[in-house]
Amino acid sequence: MHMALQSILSRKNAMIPGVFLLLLLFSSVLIPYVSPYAEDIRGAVHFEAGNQGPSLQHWFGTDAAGRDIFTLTIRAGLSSLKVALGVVILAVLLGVPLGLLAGTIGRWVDEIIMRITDGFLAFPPLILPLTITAVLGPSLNNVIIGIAVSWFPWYVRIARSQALVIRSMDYVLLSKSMGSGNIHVMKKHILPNSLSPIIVQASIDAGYAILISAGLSFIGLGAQPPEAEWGLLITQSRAQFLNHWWVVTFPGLFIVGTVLSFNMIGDELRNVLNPKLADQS
Amino acid sequence: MIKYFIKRSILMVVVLIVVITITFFVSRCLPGDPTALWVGDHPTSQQLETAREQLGLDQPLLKQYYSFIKKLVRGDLGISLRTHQPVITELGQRFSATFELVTVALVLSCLFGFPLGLLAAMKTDTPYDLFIRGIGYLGLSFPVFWLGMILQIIFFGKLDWLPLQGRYTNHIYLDSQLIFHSGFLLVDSLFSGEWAIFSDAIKHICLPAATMSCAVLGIVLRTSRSAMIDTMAEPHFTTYLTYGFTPGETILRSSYKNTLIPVSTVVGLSYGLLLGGTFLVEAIFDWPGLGQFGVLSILTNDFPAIIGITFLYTASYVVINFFIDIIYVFLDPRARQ
Amino acid sequence: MKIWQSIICSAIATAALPLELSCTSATTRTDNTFIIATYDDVKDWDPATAFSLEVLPMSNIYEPLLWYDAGGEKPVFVPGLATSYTKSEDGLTWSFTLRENVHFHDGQKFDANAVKFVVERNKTLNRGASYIWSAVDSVRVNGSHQATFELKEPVPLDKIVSSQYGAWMYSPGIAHVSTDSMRNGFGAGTGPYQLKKWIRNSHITLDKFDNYWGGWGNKNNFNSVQIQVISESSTRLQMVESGLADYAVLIPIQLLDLLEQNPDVSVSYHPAWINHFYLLNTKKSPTDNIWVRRAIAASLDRSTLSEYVYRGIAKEPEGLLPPNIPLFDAPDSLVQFNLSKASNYLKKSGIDPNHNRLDISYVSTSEEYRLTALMLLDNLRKIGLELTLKPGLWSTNWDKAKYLDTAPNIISMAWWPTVSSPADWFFGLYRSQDVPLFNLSYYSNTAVDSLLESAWYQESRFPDVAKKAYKSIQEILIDDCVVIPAADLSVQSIHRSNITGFRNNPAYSTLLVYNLERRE
Repeated sequence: MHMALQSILSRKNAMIPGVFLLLLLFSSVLIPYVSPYAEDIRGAVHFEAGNQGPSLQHWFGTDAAGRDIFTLTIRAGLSSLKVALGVVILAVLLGVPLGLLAGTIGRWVDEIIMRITDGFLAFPPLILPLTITAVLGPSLNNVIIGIAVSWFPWYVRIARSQALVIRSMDYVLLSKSMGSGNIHVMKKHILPNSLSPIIVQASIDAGYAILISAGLSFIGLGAQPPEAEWGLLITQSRAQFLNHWWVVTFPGLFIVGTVLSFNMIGDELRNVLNPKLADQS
Repeated sequence: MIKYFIKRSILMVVVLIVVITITFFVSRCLPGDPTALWVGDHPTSQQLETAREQLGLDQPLLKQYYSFIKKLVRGDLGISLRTHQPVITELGQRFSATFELVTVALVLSCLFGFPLGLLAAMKTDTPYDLFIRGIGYLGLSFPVFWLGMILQIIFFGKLDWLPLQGRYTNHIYLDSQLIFHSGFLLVDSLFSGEWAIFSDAIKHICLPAATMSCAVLGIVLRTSRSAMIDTMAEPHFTTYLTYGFTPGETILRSSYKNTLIPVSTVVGLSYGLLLGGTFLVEAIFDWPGLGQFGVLSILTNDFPAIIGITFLYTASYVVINFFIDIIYVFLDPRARQ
Repeated sequence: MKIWQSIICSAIATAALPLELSCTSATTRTDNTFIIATYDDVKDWDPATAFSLEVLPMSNIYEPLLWYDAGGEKPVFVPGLATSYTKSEDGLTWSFTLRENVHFHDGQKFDANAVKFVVERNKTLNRGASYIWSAVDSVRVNGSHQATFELKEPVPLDKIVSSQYGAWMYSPGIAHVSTDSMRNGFGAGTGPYQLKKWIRNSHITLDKFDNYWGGWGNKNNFNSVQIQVISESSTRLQMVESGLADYAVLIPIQLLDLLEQNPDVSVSYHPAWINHFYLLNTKKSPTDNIWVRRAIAASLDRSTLSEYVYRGIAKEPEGLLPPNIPLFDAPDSLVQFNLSKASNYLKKSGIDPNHNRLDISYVSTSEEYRLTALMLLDNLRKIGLELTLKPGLWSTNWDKAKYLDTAPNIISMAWWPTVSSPADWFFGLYRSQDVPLFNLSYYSNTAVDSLLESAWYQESRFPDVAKKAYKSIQEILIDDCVVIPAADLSVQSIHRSNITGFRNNPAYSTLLVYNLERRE
């Protein structure tokens, strides 16, 4: 693990996006204290200042209600980072134990779990999160649940295939012959050695979670006004976006930047961690 | 081989049943009373009551499920609460619009993704490679609805080159005689010699297809690139080179076949991504397809329509992947285990 | 610019040469067809029950007994299929003299029997706007062209027979039309145009009815009307810009802003009988407390709304309905915007703002409602009340609002009348309803109910009394703070500049093509 961390830190393809994400996190937390338009985050409106293009007073311009787009866009980073983290943690918590179970125990437990995940994985992306969020009611938290519930089968799969590989390894067989139970085997041998592909998948999923939650907010099922969320900001601009390009452009650019960062970090993680995995087999 | 085929078919049916069941129960949990949607604008409470009975909403849930399955087997997906048309009819009318869009988007991404991926593989670690991979990355990071709006601002708002929305201009479509009727406007108009419709349809499909193909472009690109890299590392490749063939010729002779395998799996995956993207893209471009229908159905709790759409999407996805699996097995006998 | 355009256009079109580059090329049409580009299709062809945008083709196919012309200084009744009428002292018997030599499109004669048939059929069907006939006890045929109505109550029958929904005269031949044929398009009226063709979700064609009683002496009349269903607003606008359509319905403001100075396209706004307002739920906490409602009412800044949100398409309201409705009299005052007063009202209410949540439901596709909700949120926040925004589609919102446990505290509404009277607003929105249909404030006040009923029965004989009563009703509603008016809307009219003959009549939200001509 330490070696992995060192390699990551030395690669600029991982550092640059990492720095961007950290900057985003800090600025989204600090912006209410720094911006003169902090009230806009809570829903303050100033119609006289509405629909103005980018200027010195408003770096990203204002929306139809006169709110400062820069402040809102930066603040929205917090929602997206929350979604990214929430989805990934929830999906891992739901999926990994099930997958380890399926892979370690095998037999009919494995069969049942696999069939159920097959069912979930048969849905094209977006459909399940869309429907689940519609059922639960529109809100960002329900979006997190909806996406996590739709995605956890991936982690079941990953954890399961890891478990299958590792349980047949010498040291595990040795441990079992010495009387270790399945749970012990899972905790001590399989889980630590499965982390790499799970981490890689998680970092890439973090980006996609943001894309999907922005899409759901765009439809109206995710974040609700006056919350600052990128997808919501974009959809609110639709009445005038042809003439007022700034309300659409900036939040979107931030989505691109954030998702790109997660993708790049994920790829670098894969490059760093996978060869190690290859060495183990 | 046959055994594999049968096994996969059974599996497919099982999955579809699971999907249908999940969808049914999830959609029945949607909040709100769909009766009002059905009855329309100015009902009396008496009319609402009658409608509830008509729709069978006063029955217990399991009984509703049972009658739903019975109808489904006969091919009856119920009546849309919002449009009052049979769901099957709605889906049928809109299917070709979505299918055409998805196919064009897929073709676009393969058209650009394949060669770029191969190019990047042949020139690994050069600026070309980095640039191409960068494009791939970017494509994967764009929110599809945002990209659509940006393209609309540029190509409609500022330049006025392409239409803002829609699949065709009504009067052009009206004044025409289409001999061919596959449902694919581009194909129909081309083979009927209706150039006005053809050029109109092309102009309308430009932006939506370009928007949708962006995400998939990245995937196709990366997969073909890494598949190509793997192939180039194989001994037979270098053998060809020592015989004096250029890399280009080698690829044409042999390697591309090996790249088809991973890429065909990617096509299956991309199809799913594209289907998901249709919800958002069709909303932005007012494309009269399944995605637009789906979004409206979900927002208005039109549960027969929701079930119909979800089933159709998922079934298409499952069936496509089924065929891809079969093709995969044809191409690579090793995968039959 | 043009060069790039053509290069790209022809590069994209791999065909030889499209005959018609629809890259916004202008067309001057010289045919006698009037083309309307609208946003959705007809769903119901039955003239008795149609209650939505069917009105566009139908008002050219069918005619009522009387028209109500509210476009001039004073509103007047204009003879339609009835040339004159009388009413009895007690207002319970109305006798209409019908126009002679009028035929329906299917050949049948228009006479008193047809009138009787229509009214009875509408009442039996009991759908759509047929409730307007509820006060009619019977229709007597006094000779072929004399129809006498006996009423249960002295309602203003002249206004009822001139309603924009549910009052058209149609051929008794409808009784022999199967439901399938009806579903595929039906039209047998007396109007200047008849239904020629209907391609679902595509277009409707109306051809001129040669035997129309109004005659076709004006050679500039249009011979046919084509209503095209085009759901994309930008395409509708482009069609008018390029001359491929003469009239476009429902174009969003941002597209109109993009429209460069084009002398061929005329964009104008006219007073309409539609208003936007917000109903406050009187049975749900905390809006069941009148001081909370007053605090909310004092938090809506109507002048800012009018200036920035509606931007000239609407006026600040004077009352609970648009001022140009006949028998409207402005209430003495509406609750004015004043945040410090609002704050006092809130204190007076005695509720604890920290433990009371308010929610507002509004139509998500409307930019005006969205911005108003944001304004309310901000102003209420300033006085300490938290407002939760719940946008959604109208059908979902309405559905939730009809049940008290899911109903919001505040709901956005728009209203336009079927019958040209303030009573239409009050009956629909504020009369006691056991099961709320549109009385989404759950308001029940017997004083208002009886005032309304008596005003409605006095309208035709004692209009001044009715006018006073309608004013009192508004004042009670304002005092009880049941509703917050937001804006009185204007309706847009977008058409080719060379079309003339438009007469603005807010009583009918439709277009009568018979009056129009194309100037060369």
